[in-house]
Amino acid sequence: MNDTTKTTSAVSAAEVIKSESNFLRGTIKESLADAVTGAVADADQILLKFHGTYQQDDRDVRLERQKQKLEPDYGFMIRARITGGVIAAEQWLALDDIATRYAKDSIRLTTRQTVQYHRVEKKDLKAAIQAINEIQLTTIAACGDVNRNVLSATNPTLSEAHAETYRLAGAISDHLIPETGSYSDIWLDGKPLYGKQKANSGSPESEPIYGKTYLPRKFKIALAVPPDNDVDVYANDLGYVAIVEQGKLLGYNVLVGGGMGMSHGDTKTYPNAARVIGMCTPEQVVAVAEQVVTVQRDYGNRQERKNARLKYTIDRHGLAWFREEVERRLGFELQQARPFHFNTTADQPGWRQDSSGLWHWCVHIMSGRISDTGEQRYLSGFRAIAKALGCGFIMTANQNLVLSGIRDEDKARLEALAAEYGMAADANWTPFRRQAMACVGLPTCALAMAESERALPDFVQRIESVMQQCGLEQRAITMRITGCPNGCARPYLAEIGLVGKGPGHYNLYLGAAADGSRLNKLYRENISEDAVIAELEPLLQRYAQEGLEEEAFGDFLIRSQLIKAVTEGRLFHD
Amino acid sequence: MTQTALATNAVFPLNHQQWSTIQALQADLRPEQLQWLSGYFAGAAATTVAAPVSAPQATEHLTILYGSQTGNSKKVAERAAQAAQASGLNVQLHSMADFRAAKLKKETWVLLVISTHGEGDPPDSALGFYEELHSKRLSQLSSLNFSVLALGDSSYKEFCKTGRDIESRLLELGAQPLLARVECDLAFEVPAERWVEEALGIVADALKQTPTAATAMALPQTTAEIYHDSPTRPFQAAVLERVLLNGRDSNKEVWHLELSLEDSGIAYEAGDALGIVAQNNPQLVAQILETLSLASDTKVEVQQQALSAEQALSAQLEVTRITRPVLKQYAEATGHDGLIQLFDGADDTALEQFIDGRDWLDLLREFEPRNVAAPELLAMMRPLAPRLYSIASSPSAYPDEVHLTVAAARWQFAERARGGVVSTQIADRLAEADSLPVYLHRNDQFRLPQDGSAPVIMIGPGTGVAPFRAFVEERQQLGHSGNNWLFFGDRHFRTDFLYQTDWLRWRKEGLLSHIDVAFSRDQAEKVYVQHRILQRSKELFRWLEAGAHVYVCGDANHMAKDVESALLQVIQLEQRCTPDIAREYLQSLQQQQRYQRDVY
Repeated sequence: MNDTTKTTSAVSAAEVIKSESNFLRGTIKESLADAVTGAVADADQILLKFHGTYQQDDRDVRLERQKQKLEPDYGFMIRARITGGVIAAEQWLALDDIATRYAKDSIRLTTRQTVQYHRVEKKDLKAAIQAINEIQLTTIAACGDVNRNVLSATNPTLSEAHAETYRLAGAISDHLIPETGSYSDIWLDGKPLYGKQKANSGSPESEPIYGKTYLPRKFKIALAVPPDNDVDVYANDLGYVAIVEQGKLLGYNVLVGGGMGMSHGDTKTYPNAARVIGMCTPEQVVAVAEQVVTVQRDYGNRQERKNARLKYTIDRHGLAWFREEVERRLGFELQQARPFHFNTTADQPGWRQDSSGLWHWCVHIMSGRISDTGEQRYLSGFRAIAKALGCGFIMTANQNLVLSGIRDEDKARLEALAAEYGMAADANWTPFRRQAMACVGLPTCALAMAESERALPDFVQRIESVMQQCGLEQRAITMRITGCPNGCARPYLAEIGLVGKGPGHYNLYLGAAADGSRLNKLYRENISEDAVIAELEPLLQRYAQEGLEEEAFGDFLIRSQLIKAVTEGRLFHD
Repeated sequence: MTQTALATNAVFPLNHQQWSTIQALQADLRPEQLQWLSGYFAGAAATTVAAPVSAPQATEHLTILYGSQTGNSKKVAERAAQAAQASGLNVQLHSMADFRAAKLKKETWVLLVISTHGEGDPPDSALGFYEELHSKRLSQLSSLNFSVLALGDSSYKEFCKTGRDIESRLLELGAQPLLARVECDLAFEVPAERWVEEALGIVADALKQTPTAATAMALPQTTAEIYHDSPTRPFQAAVLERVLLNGRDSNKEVWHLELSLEDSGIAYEAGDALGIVAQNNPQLVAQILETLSLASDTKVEVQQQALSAEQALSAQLEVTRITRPVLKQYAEATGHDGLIQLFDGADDTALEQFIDGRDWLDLLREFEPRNVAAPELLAMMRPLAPRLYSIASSPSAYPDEVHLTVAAARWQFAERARGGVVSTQIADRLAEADSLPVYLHRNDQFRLPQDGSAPVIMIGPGTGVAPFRAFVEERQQLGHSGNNWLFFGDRHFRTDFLYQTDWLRWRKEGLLSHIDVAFSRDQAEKVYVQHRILQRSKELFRWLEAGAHVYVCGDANHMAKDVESALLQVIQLEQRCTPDIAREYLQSLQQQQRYQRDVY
């Protein structure tokens, strides 16, 4: 490995833990066996992320339990690794079964085309992870300082370019998956991961791409097929945009340095939209991914985690340097980037037909929460549909679910089932409601400072009613809420971004591009829910009166000079 | 020591030199120091008497024997010994654990205080004595004069059985009863004191040593103001904190209660219990008054006290249960055929079924109280017994507080919600500003090892864990270096792990070297502490061989038996021995005070 760590003395605590973990083993086995606590040892909490799970607790009862002399109500988030979010009906049924057995009857669709469970007790963790691996999925590297789940333009069956893009996403994912045998040791009783010949537990064990300290920070990759930017490609460390001319896939524009996370009050941290550095052929896609990863591995900041994402590495060294370093390692130069155009980041609602004549139906789910609550019985409904139709299930990066590969004669049956389980309401939803997103937030996430998933319905309803008063109900405006500035729901790329600052208080960000290519900007800091509505009201009114036809809300705010456009992340706080 | 104390005048027990020393000391002391010393000397006196006292060879003496499980019999016996001593009798006090029954052949005057447990069983510590007494080693005891005080609980079928057995065996062996057996129910204090007084009077007469004026209960009564050691002399302890220990969604309800002992003079030890003077549920009392058409302020006489009917039913009488003797009285007085029939015939299944679950309100509603006046009816009721709770705090860490772990007992019977008297009082009717009448109940059968380096194994599922919270923290406070190992169990890990954060902290600090937990309902098959004991067989036996003391606290009916059989299996397995030898091993631990139980 090509490690150029010059100042090993000051590496962050996480780096030490990784380095001493024996390829991510740590004392995870011992921690799991300790029946006296529902938690794991501190260092193991860091390492478990690489295995696709991390420790949380129910913050609603934290203080109450402290008084009761009970430890926090610990539970584990488990995230699956599902390239492009594509699975079969049987796999969905198995995921449902895992939720019912171990995760309090709830599945969360994430913003990265996969599912995650919450509140899995430590004693059930191994069984749940094993069950995920039994259906040809896995959880390795779903979190942690590695390449995460690879996003691919929703629904591979839509076109040849979609299919090829999905195939490449899988190839990237497989190529960058950690080689450590610790995953098999800890979770699979030594059996290899699906698709691998044998578990890597040989000695000496190695990580040919990552090395024993893996990456300095998380690493995210997405592949988009214009005109849809449904994967929010600009939010990723590495993005590929398919260049299709006359039905032929020429290659992919390569974008680097996107990323959402920042910290309140620390202007050295900022979100960034990825920038184009050139184009590669489909055959070069995997090699490009590997070399972008290795440059980040060698040059990323290992002293300060807040400054470790690829965006900071690039800003420190310059985009030109970065491109050259990647090309040097590749042994070839990237081509000139080609022009492309995105319309939207949203999922297309309702029915959509592919080139082979099969149908695909998108179910919009608020915050991606799949459970049975009142009339809306998503969990039972998807179970019934999977059993009745055996269709494909595709998770979107907008926390929605596409039921895929439906024959003409089954369309009515699907609609009837969806109606029966209260899942068809989205037909009447406004575009605004369909596109709204929120992270998990309170009470589950340890980082949350304000409500997000639980606050979303109320925000949506209130802003919807303002939009209605202004006659804007058919306009698509993106709104995203997160409980903290780390940006799981990509709030800095939303036309209305709300980022939790404290209980009931948010920073309001405005002016992002509807196609996901431009960041928004701070408009008001630390304001209440009521103040958010009060601030938006006059702006929406002006937009209704002065906005051009087809002009998006974010673009209008820039044109009217109500908001200054953010051209790159470094200028986000200016 | 204290041959001198015994030999001196009973009226003024100190010699000149002792008296001057005391006076000199007194001049130098502040009031609070005096207060403290008064407690100290009373305690010292109690300890002294508790040790077997050897009497002068030539003089005739009185021997007092006790067989105690929870400490009540011991307490009565000690009180009797103090009173006997105060009245100038030569007295020897022994636990039946240390007294071979064959030695009775050489005794002339013996008082026996013995309790009964479970299904008519003797206390653990008296089992050997009981068995030997019934063996062929004894053929006649004609020169023995004796009396038995039997403690028990009349809600059990075999009420006071051990006391009865001992008396009838002694009679069979030709011994003379100096006073007929007295049986005490849960509220044993008053009848026990009467028995002591009467029996000592007879012995003193016979030995021609007339009791002096200062006598009988002099010593206990003077210390009573300092020592709140009986339900008749409670201390009003202010409630400091009350917390439900079970997390949301639990179907258990265990309360952690912190009470103030400030200015009480109560000095407890780890292992002791706290008695709480009970108060019946006011709603139930009101319903009974209504059923009896009795005004709440009607004057009645209960246990020699003039009270209002409401006071009597609230604080003096047991109304939540009916017992065989009580029901029999009621049946005879009211003449209801339905009740009288229950006592016909040899088979008492119907009687047992009737009693099970019914309270006085049920009885009065089903069989109206005809032919019997209210005061007469109240006189039939059993005295309301106090409730004992193992103390869950370390006296060194909390000298002015006591912590209790109280499971609220609730159940449904005949479509009416019922509850444990004191536990629901604590759960439902206690505000933070309130206080509770409490007293200290010493439990010398349940003490930490003297040797600070001795390892300790504690087995306490459910609320049985309470004294171990006191043990572990006390050992920390005392700087004991011995290892500690806790076995705990309950239903669910998430919600029922009592004092989880305390155990985690003590584990982190290295105080708890081992902790094994069993949560019965977290998986398909039920797992209990005894299963964990068996799983840890090798290590556990290693600890036993290294001198560990084993403590068991909690449910007597199932848990304690299952745990004992698990311990026997461990010994058998690791020692590769027969069941008999394993039993001897455990008995020898018991004799060395290394296997102690506080089960209920």
